[in-house]
Amino acid sequence: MSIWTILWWALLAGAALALWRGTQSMTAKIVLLGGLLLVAIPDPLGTRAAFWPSVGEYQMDVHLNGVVVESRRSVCVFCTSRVRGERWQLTARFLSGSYALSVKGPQPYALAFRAGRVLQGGRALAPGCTTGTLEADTTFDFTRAERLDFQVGPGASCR
Amino acid sequence: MAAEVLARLENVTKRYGGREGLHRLSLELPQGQAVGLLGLNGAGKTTALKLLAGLLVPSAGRVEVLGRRPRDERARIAFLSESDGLYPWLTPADGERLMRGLYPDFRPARYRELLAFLEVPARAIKTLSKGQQGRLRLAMALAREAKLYLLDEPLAGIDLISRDRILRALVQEWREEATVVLSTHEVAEAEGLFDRAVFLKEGRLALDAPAEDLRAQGKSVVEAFKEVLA
Amino acid sequence: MNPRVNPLPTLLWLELRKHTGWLTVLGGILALSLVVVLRVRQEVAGRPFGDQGGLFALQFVLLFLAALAGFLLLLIALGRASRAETWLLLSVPPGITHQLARFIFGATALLVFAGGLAGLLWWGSSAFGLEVGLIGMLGLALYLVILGLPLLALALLGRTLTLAYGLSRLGWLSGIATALGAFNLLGWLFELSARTIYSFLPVWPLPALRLAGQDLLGEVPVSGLPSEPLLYGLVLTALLIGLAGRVWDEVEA
Repeated sequence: MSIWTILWWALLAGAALALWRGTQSMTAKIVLLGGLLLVAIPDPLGTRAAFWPSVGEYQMDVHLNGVVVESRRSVCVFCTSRVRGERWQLTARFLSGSYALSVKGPQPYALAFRAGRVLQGGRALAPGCTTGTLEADTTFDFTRAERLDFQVGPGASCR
Repeated sequence: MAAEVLARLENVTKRYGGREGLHRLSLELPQGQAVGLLGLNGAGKTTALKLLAGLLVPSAGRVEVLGRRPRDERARIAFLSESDGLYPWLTPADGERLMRGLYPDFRPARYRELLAFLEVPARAIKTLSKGQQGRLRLAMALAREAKLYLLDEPLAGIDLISRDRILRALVQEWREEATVVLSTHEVAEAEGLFDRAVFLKEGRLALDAPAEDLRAQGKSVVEAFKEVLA
Repeated sequence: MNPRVNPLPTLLWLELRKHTGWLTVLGGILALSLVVVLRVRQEVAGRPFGDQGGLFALQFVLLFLAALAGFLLLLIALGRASRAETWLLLSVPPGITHQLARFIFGATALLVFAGGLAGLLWWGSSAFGLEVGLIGMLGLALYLVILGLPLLALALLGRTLTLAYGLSRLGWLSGIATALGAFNLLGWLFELSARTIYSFLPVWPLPALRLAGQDLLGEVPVSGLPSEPLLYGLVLTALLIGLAGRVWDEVEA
């Protein structure tokens, strides 16, 4: 702990003491002590520091078990693309873009979305859950697809 | 039969930081009594009144009005403060609108009578003299039908003519059932108003006596005041 | 309190009277913004399409600065404590009623001001051939106003806390603590919003935006703005007003 940290804490403790004794209003005391506590411990669980870098994480162009995914002009809000065993999963709160999937053999898939427009090889899908098997190369086009969960590979489901 | 106690201070001490504004003051204020709270500047008069009004909380001891915390009974307490500022743009008509909306016991007709009697001009406060401002504030306070009137130095810094009008308004508006505590160091002029004189000196109770008893002893309140201060 | 007396209209009237000067300044900002839009419209009239970008940016920046200045003015107006407060402390309505009246006044002034600026932006944009949906634009202004409400409530709380530290003359320290605490609190609110946007509430629609018949928002991945921050903002606002009301009831003066 640096000397500056100790000084900063001492300053906050002094301010807290002065503010506690400076009024008869219990609510004012509690509010201001709460405020100083927020200043003193800005990240009590250590989750804040980890959150913001994770927002930018988004990797695409996946090669997995005979599935190749290439994304084009994809813009999304809170996207995650990950591989779970032999299954590839893409989740997004909002997604606009085009994904070309090349498959060497049949691959099960599941695609769920709440609203927006999703075209599978030019065919519009209804919001909700769609499952099936990809037999050939297919392009999925998303326009403002909301709450998307797209899985390709063994065990794919809309769960 | 003794009158019902309307308000009481029990062993009340009020500290401001390291300084004591009031030290172990105990007072009982019966219903219908007019009490003069007397003392020099800094004696603790304003502190005692603010404690009774609920504007201050005692550092030790207890303050009750009608058996509850004064702040909970603020609908029955009319407090005229020496130090409070009113809005500079406020006219007597604005004052009426404000009081009507904020105090259910405000009586507009009485307020207008008081304004006329006290000769308060119908102009914004910022254009009024200190005496006229004091008279307006008094009219606002006295136009309420409160149980407890706390008047802090209503005569301070006010010219002689205004003082006379204020005193006459006080005599005229006195309601038998109301308790009035009036603090002043203009003892000579106000002494005819009091049923009881409470003298404070350096935050402590120096003398608490019915005005009648003082008179029976052949003393005026002013003489008693001088004795206490000596 | 006598149920016949409803103090809210009186307190709203009092706020209006107290803040006449500030409202005049806000009106002045709107009037200046109108002058800016009028001048820009005149300038745009004779220019080729390619030369209009700079003017559009200038108009947008000036209207943005006007919005910022107006909002800050309103925050200062609501956050300033005056000596006359002491007199009000002993009035019969409880603290929450006083704070609610101030908040309603501030929020209404902000809404009218933001609505006026949004209208000017809408009108100013039409000079550039931009077709913006007026309802959507006003909706966007409302969205921003709702986001600003916690700050208005914080200003009210900060002012009341200053009042609560009047006797000990520590109002300055309470002001610093409030500002620092508020900064961190808003950080938490921002993070909570970021973690949960577009997750459980329907989106707040964006205004339609077209140029020469082409939808300029066609490529935007979202169909609207997230509503979750509005919910958090409103909850926080209610909490702050409640606290400000409680502090008011406990203030010494």
